[in-house]
Amino acid sequence: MNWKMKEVVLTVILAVACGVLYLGWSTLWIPISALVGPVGAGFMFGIWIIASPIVAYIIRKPGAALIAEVAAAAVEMLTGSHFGLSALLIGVFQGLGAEIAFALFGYKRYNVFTLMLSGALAAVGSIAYNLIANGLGYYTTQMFFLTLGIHVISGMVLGGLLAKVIVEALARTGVLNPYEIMKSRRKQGKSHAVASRV
Amino acid sequence: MTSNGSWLASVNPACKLIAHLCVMFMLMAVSDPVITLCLWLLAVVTGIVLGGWRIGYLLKRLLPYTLFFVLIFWMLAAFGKGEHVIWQWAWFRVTEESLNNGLTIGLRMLGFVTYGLLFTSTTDLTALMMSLIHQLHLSPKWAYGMLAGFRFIPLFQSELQQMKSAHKIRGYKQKNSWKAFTRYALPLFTQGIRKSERIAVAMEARGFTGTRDRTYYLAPVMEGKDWVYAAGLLVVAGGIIWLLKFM
Repeated sequence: MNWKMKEVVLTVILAVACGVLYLGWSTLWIPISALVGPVGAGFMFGIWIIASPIVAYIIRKPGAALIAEVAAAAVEMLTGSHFGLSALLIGVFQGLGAEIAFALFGYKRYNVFTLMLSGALAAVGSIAYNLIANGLGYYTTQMFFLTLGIHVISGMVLGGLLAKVIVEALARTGVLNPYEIMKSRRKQGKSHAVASRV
Repeated sequence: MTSNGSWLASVNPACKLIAHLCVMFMLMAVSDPVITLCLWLLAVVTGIVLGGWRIGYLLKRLLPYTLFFVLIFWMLAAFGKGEHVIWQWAWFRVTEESLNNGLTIGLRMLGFVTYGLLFTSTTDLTALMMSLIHQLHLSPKWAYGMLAGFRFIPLFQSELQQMKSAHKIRGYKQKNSWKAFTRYALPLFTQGIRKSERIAVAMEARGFTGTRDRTYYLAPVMEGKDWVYAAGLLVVAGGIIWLLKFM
């Protein structure tokens, strides 16, 4: 892995920003889940995995999704999350899930589909952790699949799709110009230009 | 994250992290509320005896989680599976098994939080990163990158607060949380990206290449007491499980 220092720090800082957002989101989750129940509150899940698609989409390197999510989870833990050490572990599961989506396409394809797939697989990872640690297996079968479905949809929309929206908005501001996402776009643009001239 | 100067704070951070994670795995494997309660009490006692926790501090940090505990308990008690129905109303169905499971999972969550607190309240961030480099062979590039990044946690928090105030003073009212999220997240990310680039340039300009081949001002080693703490914690936790399960 030949990560540039620039990319390392970018990954960490975006993860830190996400971690701070996660913490706020976690605090918001308690009253909402008290109101509509844990299954209903599953629709909020997607935000907690957004670090993976955002960073992987910008950096486009193997391991980016996993590292970003674990770092964001570590930040959430260190700043005093009410999930404690389990915030760190669940980050590993979600990050692995998200990473698989990009690995499946050999880290070549970065479009809305792969981003949403990464959100869905991160949701599966999170459910796998919850099955082991948080007693999701004690729910009735119906309740379990309902929870899984809501998490996957939320992961696709609030994770993958929102990540796409955010990164596109960031790209418009020009701050992403030195990174892989804009580099590959410039390359594509250039080849188009050459083709049109020929 | 700063250490509080207790005995536990002098234990090697990487060793402590791994020991606590091991106890977490034990907690996950246990499905009995009494054993879970004992493992949680072990964390509380360790915190008071070795971690320098005052009762007041303990109450202040753990009381907010009791609400969470009740919530988790209720979720599992009312929506869990089970045969022996105690009480049923609308879609709520409370059974003996679900009550038991709810209690286990609620206490398990409390245990996770307490072991997490035991770690974060007694560990210095810089020492943790150095320990990760030396004991777990993390690349210095990542360790120092994280150290630089973690300095931004308070900055981001105050920036978020500042943005909220700025919006408020201009009469912006939060209509729905979806719009509010992008409104706050975007500037936070843009600022972060700009800063990350400057930091990376500054680090490289000062000769930081990220290789292992460098000197360290802090080089944690594994000492006897680190092994004693890790082994002691695991033996006591394992002993509790064995004693309550098979005796």
